[in-house]
Amino acid sequence: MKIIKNNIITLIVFVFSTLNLFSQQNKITGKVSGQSGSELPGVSILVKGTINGTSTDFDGNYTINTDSNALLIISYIGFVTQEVSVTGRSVINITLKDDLENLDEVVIVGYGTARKGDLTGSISTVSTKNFDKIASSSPLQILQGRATGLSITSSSGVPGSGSNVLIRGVGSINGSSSPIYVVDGVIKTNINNLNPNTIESISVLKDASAAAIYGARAANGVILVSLKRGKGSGASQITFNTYVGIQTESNLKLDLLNADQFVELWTESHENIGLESNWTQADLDQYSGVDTDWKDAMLQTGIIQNYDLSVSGGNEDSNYFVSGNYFTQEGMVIKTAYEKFNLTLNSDHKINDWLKWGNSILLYSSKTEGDGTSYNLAMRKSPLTRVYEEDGSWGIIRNQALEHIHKNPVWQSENYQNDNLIKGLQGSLYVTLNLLEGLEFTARGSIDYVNSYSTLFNSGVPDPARYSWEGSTINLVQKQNIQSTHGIVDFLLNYKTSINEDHNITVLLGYSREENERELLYASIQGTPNDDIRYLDAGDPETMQNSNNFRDWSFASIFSRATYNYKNKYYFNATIRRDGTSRLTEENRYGVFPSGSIGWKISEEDFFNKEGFFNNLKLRASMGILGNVLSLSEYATISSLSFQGRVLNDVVTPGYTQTSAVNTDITWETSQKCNFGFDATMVNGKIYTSVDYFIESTSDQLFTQPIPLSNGYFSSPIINAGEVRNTGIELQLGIRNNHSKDWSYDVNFNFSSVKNEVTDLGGRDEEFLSSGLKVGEPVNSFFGYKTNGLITDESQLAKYQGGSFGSKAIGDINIVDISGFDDDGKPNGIPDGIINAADRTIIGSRFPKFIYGMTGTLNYKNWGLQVQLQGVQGRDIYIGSRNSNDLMVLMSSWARNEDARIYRRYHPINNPNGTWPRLTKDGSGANLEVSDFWLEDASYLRINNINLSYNVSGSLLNRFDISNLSLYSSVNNLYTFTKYGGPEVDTTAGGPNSVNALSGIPSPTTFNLGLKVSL
Amino acid sequence: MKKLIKNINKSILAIFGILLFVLVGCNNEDEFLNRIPLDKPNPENFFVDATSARAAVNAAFRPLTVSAHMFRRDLVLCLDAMTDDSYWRPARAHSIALGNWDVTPTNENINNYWQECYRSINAANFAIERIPTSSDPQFTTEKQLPYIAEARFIRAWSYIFLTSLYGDVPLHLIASIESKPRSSRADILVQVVADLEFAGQNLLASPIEDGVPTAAAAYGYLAKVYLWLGENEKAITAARSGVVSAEGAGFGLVDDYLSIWEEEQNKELLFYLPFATNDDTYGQNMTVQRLIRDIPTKLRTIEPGDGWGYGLPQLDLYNAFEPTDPRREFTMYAHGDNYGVYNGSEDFVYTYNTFDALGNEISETVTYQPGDLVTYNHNWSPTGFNIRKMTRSMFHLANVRWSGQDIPLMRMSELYLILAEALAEQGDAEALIYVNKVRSRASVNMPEKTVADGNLVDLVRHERRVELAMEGIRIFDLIRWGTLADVFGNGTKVKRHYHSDLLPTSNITKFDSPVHDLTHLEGLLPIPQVEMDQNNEITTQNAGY
Repeated sequence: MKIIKNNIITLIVFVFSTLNLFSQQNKITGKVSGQSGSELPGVSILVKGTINGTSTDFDGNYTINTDSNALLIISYIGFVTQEVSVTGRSVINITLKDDLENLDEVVIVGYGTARKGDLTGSISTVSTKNFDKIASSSPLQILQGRATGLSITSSSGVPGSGSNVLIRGVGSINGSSSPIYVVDGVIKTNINNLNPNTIESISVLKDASAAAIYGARAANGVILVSLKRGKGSGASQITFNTYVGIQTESNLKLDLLNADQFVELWTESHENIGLESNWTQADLDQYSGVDTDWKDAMLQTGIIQNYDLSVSGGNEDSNYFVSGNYFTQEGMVIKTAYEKFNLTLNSDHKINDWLKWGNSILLYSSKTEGDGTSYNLAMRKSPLTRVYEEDGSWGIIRNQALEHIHKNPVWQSENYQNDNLIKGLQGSLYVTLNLLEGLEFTARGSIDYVNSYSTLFNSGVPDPARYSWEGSTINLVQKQNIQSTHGIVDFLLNYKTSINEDHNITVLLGYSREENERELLYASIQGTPNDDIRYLDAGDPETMQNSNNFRDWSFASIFSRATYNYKNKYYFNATIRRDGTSRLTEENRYGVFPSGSIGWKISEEDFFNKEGFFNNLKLRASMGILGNVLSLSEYATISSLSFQGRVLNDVVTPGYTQTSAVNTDITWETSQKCNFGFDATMVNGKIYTSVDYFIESTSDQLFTQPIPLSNGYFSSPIINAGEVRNTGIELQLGIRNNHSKDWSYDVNFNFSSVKNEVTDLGGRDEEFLSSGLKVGEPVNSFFGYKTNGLITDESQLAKYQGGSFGSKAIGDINIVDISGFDDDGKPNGIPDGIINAADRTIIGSRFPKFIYGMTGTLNYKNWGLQVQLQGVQGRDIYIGSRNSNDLMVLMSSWARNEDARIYRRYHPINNPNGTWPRLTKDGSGANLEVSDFWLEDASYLRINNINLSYNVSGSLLNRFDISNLSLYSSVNNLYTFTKYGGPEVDTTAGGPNSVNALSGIPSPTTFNLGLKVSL
Repeated sequence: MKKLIKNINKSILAIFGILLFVLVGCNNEDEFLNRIPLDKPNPENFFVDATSARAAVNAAFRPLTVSAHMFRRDLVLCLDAMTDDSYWRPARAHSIALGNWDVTPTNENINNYWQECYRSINAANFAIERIPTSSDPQFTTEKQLPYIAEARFIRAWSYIFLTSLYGDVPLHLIASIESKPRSSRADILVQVVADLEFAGQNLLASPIEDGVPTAAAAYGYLAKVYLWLGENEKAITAARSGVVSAEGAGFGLVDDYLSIWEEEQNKELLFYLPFATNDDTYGQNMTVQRLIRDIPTKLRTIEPGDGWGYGLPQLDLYNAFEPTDPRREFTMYAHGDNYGVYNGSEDFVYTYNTFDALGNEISETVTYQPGDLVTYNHNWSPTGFNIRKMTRSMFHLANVRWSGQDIPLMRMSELYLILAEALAEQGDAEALIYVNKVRSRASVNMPEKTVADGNLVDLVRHERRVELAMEGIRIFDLIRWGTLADVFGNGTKVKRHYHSDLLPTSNITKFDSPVHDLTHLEGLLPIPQVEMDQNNEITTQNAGY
């Protein structure tokens, strides 16, 4: 297989390279440098009116083939773009003037591009410099902390797992708040499949004016990604980049009880309730010397390897960019791994002066092995169980009273398979017709095809009579295939004109259809002859089970955008989009979403002194309305019956009933968004800043109306009600200096603060309270009891007697009496001397008060250093247990290990100054009720990445025709400063409705070394 | 000129492009946007004939067996733990709380019982409402009746369950999303009576499908409800109808008491919940929850095998049996009982703690040789007892959680005892005929009771306790009789441990003592907090919560 892949690359490279052979033109060479005399690498040189271009090498040299009367456009970030006429010369050296504005950078916007200086909406652009030098399989992990308004949280430390992304906070009460991604025109819900090295630029569209062109898809914001493309003739370039890294546990560590502590506390939990421990000294004696550190048994040194090879080039008529990437990771936890292969093929071709076409194609496959289940199990495994017996066989459970019957997690890791193999094709193809001067018609088709194939294999547990492990004695094979096809067709008319060079106008008119189909096929079987055979055919046919389902949805949209600016001083931008969705009934299907924005470049006014403190200043304002229906499932407005079988005559017979309550009368959720901001550069361009203030209100929220359980439905109807508001500020501030020949620096801070607030619940305030929704509080807050330490005195027990906490005793968590019930059975806010359900309230928020980041880059001669920090302030994580399989159950269930912090428990003799509740085998004392005792402040500051690189220079490189050779080393997730006591602070776990925060696999620390070479 | 032509060409192109644009845009947009689920039936055209009626009714039974807190795993054990019969092993906080009457409205078990019963009711309502709309003319109203009766039967069953444990509860008779206030227990029972009368008349005496309730079962529950309401005459009539229907269809007492749970589909079973063997979704793990846990490792391979021992009978139940009643041994393992044959390959020496005649703690050592009969030991359970009834060997299962053992809910012997109770309440000594019928089962063979043995009602109640012990039935009897608080007395009345008399008062296994005063609680569980929070029509919680 590998050979075939390599051959394909060779073939493609060959085909595209031959395009160069046909150009018979003048060769022009030269050097580009800045005003200080320093050579400028990576400067873009383009022949005007063509797509023929190149860029300078590390020493600022370039070569390009073109006509003798061509005009060259030389552009580089931070410098004024110059046009140079060739006029027969063959050597042209160019000195670029520093651009104090730095606003000519081209950024991608919806369905097009714009100069950064022309933007009136709020868009964060992210420098992708060094992306290829950070050891990570996912571009999102690298993005963390690099853009204002963008909050990224890991979903798990399992290799290959994704991230959760929020732009400007949560707007939706029930539905997804994730943004969409648009990769070269393909709309996606994640970008984990991309190779970070192929990303040219990333834009985050935040306000209505920037995102409205994506209408109903954009309520949660849009992240635009454009992939690299070839530059043009003379610029054929081969780049090879590789790194290897190792992964270890980060400085945040979960401590578990050791064997002595375990026995001490386990005994205490029995004695505390007057229960005799049902083991004897003889039982304990057989464990002498046993103290298994299960976490240690599950950890190993993870290894990462990455290989990238890209070839780019072309001539004035065609260009190409081809890149292959192989990434492989062996996880920090045994038997977890990730592997990814991807191939990018991008090209643009001009057929004649009115027709061009191009494509972006990404072929990828990835394989995830293992998951967090065994690790999770290991965190709870009794330290008295041995991993292996002395004879090398697996650890036996000697006494169930001291070792719960959980399987041996190491055995489970080694005899368990959970592979997920994803193969995908993501690509787009466009044709552009140049119809009239300034008028272009583009038709673009794009597709995202994903096939996800997973195999789960569970080995049968060995002899239950010997090992006492729970589980099936028979093996199990499960296969699941999910095939999804997402297609989009866009037709775009673009018109661009300029009247007297003063009035600059662009108009876009577009029509788009989007469709998604997903089919799942699943089958399982038990009892293959042995564990090496893991296919369905080999199992016991009587145990065969299968299922198959299908989902689809579609959108049809028409949209338009017009921009106008007068003398590059006054900017106007208007967008409108009408979306139709399959998720709503025909009557409510269409929604129209307008937006507009204005900008004023004060610095272009005559009265403005550009040489003063401010060199550039622009004010921006925007407002608009976006729609959202993505909180709805595909068929939310259609009734159907679901399968509810029953055994009759000893076999399963079908059953069907209506399990979901359907409301057909729902319509679009609308987000109203306003944004005010300014961009400025100061002190000769050394200081640059962008500030945005925004207010976003999402009303007619599509959310589940919690109907009583007594209605007997499995799921509740969706209604339009309520409003959520996000207000916030975003600040970006940078200081840079690249005027010196030897050194340059750029330090960039970002800060975002969002206040999330439920402003209306459609009159259903009381019904939603227990879901953590309350007017004036953030969405999905933590709801429970307020507490004040432990009960220390008999006199504090009275208030529990009349309520439902009769088993409270000294040493239990003390609940604060804040309310009684009124006559309607609702809390009245008046303490009544009794602790009961009326005393529950909002106790904490899962959203941070603010997030911040810093990226500092320092270059000295051949050395480059980048440090990236990221922080989150004022967020809570819930560490308490919500079910008996969680890690923190205060010794109330089975003989299982727990977080070592429970050693701080109160005990009148053993630990009279304990600050954590007493331990009770039967859970009496109600210490696990949801309360603020279990909320921990999860503020943190993390050194996300440190990256040091060295560019090798000298004659050696020239001799081998190497244009650039750099060596680099980086550390990811180096250190986290926090008071939080769990193993992972950057996590979505521990939220009001999510999994326990303690027993998942945390993110590792990664050290890597790399080499990048360009020919 | 050439340039002009080129421009004209371009204009044509432009027009063509715009036309294409408009055409595509207007073309069948609604058709493109109409999407319906292709993998599920649609409620509007689902109901055709007996097959669809069967499916709609099946869905109403599913909730009772699907959840771990229902019959699939815990329910029978938890219901018994709430009585004087047994103790819930101190593991898994929410079930312990239930056994101790230390429940909060957020307790997941009580939340689940409520949720699953109402899911059953909702599916039953849907079936009752929609079966008459079946499109096949051959599926006549008459043919529809047994299906509707089955749905009304399970709806009544769920309401009995709910009103017994929670008191006044919302009454839903059609599928809707409307919130309903609590209806009084009396109103609930009026509906239950109507449903059960209909079910008794329209269910088959001997259903074609194994697992469908019999008409006799409907009469049995109907009679129990009448007894609860104090309408003894009606109870007698209903119970007699049940007995006639059942006997006429060949139902009766099986000779071998233990075989009621060992053999599938025996003639004793008027209503039971079927499970499938070795099936992850449709099997049950109640059996493994009942089997003994703390047995020495060497003895684990003795039939029926070891389990998780969550339900632990108490001394109070042990003492309730007449000393010679073999049902005591059929129901529970007690110290000194025969447990099984040691099947190891070498001698097994076992030392255990016990008490001498004076109550001093001593240790004793026994040696079992291969083939020896092992005696049950009180150290193998926190109460000194384990359940034997309704267990079955699990050695043939690939996973101990996948037992196919069916769970009987209404047995023939209970129907006789319901009739006996109704007669006894009327002071009719005919009651003893049915009591003695149950006592004279071949494997039980207990001497007949006569009027000289005491109060008729007490005799029947005693017989119900011992005949039906550890089957999850007693709690409903205690609620029906209004004696739930009385049986626990002041907290020292119900002895828990086999050696209760020798244990210090501080030992939690000495007595079964509810944490909360059951008189104050009126014997009710709290309405689940989720229901309180989401149902604006409910404004009052049960007393004491």
